[in-house]
Amino acid sequence: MSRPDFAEPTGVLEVISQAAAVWGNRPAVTGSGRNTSESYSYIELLAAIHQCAAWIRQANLPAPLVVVPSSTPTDVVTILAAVVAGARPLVADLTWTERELHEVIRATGAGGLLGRRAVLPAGLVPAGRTWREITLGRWDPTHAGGPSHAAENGSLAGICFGRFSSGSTGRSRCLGFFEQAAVQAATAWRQASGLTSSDTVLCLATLNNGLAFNTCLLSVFGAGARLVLHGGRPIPSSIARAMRTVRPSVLVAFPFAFDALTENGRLERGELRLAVSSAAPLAPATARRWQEQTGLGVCNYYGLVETGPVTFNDGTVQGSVGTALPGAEIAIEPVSGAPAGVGRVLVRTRSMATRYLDGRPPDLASSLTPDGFYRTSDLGVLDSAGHLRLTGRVGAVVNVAGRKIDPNEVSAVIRSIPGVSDVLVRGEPAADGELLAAYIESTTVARQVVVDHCRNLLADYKLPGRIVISAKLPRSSAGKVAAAQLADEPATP
Amino acid sequence: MSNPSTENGSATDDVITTLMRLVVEVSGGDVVPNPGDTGPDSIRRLGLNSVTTLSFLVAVEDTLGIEWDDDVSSDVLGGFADMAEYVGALSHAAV
Repeated sequence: MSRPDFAEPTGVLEVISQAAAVWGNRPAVTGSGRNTSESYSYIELLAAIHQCAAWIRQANLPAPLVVVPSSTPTDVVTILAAVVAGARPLVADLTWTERELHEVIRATGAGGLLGRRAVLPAGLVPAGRTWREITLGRWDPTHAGGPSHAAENGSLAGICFGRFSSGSTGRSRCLGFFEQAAVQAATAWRQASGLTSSDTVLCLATLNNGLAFNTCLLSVFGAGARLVLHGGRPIPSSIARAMRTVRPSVLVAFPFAFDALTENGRLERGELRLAVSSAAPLAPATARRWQEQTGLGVCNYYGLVETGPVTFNDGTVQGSVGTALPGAEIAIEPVSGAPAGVGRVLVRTRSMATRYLDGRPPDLASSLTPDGFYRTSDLGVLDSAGHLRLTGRVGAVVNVAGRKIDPNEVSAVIRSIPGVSDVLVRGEPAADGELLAAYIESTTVARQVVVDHCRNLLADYKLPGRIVISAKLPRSSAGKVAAAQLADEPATP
Repeated sequence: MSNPSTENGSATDDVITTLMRLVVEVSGGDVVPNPGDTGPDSIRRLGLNSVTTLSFLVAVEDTLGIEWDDDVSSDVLGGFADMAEYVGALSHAAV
């Protein structure tokens, strides 16, 4: 069934209202695995959003609110309802530790928190009210760290929601968006991927991630399709079970899932017509196996928190992240020393972020060219057919299976351990991409101390995969750590 | 006559040894569990990042011929002894 010829909606509520009017009792969002009990039809989704928005408004908490979604259908309702209620949800990462959430609260001056009690760090569960297991509460003032920076300087004006980038200075940064940005991103993705109401989209990404946020929420609802949020771990047996029971036509997952599914031969194509991988390069061998086992290419897309989705590759062109989505423009800025044609990727979209909400320099405007292109940290080349191929990074951000990690943040955490005199954290090649390696100079600190300290202060995906502790790190004559000599050091057991 | 409880204990020990070997393999030799530490949280304390943890769970399935339930308790996944006991129970159920 094709989408009726509506005027394109301009807001979240309009998208859901149109969908409820057309697709009524068709399923909008359900869970798989341990979340199978949660399900909303389009009419139920609209009603639940209204109900939840009223509940949020009654709390009368100062915006913005930090939302910690656990990727269930009710979390979808919560995010959309917070937008509708004007609570300006900042969509946080479920895996963040208490320290990382404190940092977000302090930086943004968030007035409260929304999330499931069971998934929140124990020290941050607010004494608040609940709605279908979602807890809403005001921050303890000792957590909040003063009045909202964003609210004080007026930078919340027009802001509808916030998402987080990995940051490049050791701390995650929160970007604010106008409501139209979410709708424009969804429209561009829906058109490029050809989503219709016949589709069932199985999403393995968490809702804070751009892969899910941009390809699986409003784009799916705008098409009248069915969204299924995977309630199991992204391992082959669990995904295979979901594939058998859900029979998706679209699969949205990270490269790890494609690697594992194809290696284990548990793949059943079923109704699948589109498989989308993003956030990290898919190994050519995986793409080949997928093609052999399903007859489908793996689609890729390129997007950034700052810009929303930028490109789409329907899987027919290997090595490319695709061509520009409707409304997106790409340019290449020459970089000295780079091979011919390779340069910094510049992007301009209709779904750009408006500003950073944490008041820290640099501001977003300083990353824009005079004509409004965002200067990414990616290096790439654009061929004559408009296909973008990424070739590397300008900065030092490490990409571990699609999660961007700033080594500076991990370095700072390790450096704070008493007895550590120096540390170097960096990405290193691994069999399946990159791993994070930490080289620590200490005569007293044991590996377990480093592990425990990092587990307390960093999300699991930021934990170094390789830890090497030595009494003296090799240094150059200028006293800098000699990075080139580090790879030969054996890991500390 | 063999002692069933001793046999069970030995089987569990064998599974623990296998689990520890798999940790070493999936971490590329960078993480080596202490054979004496098998209690609650003994896996969590290793500090495996989320990708390595998933690789470990996949390796356990492939090597020991089990499938993780979607609602398996986090306690089971946190310690070698608990995981070995769970794996053993699944294997018995399969027989």
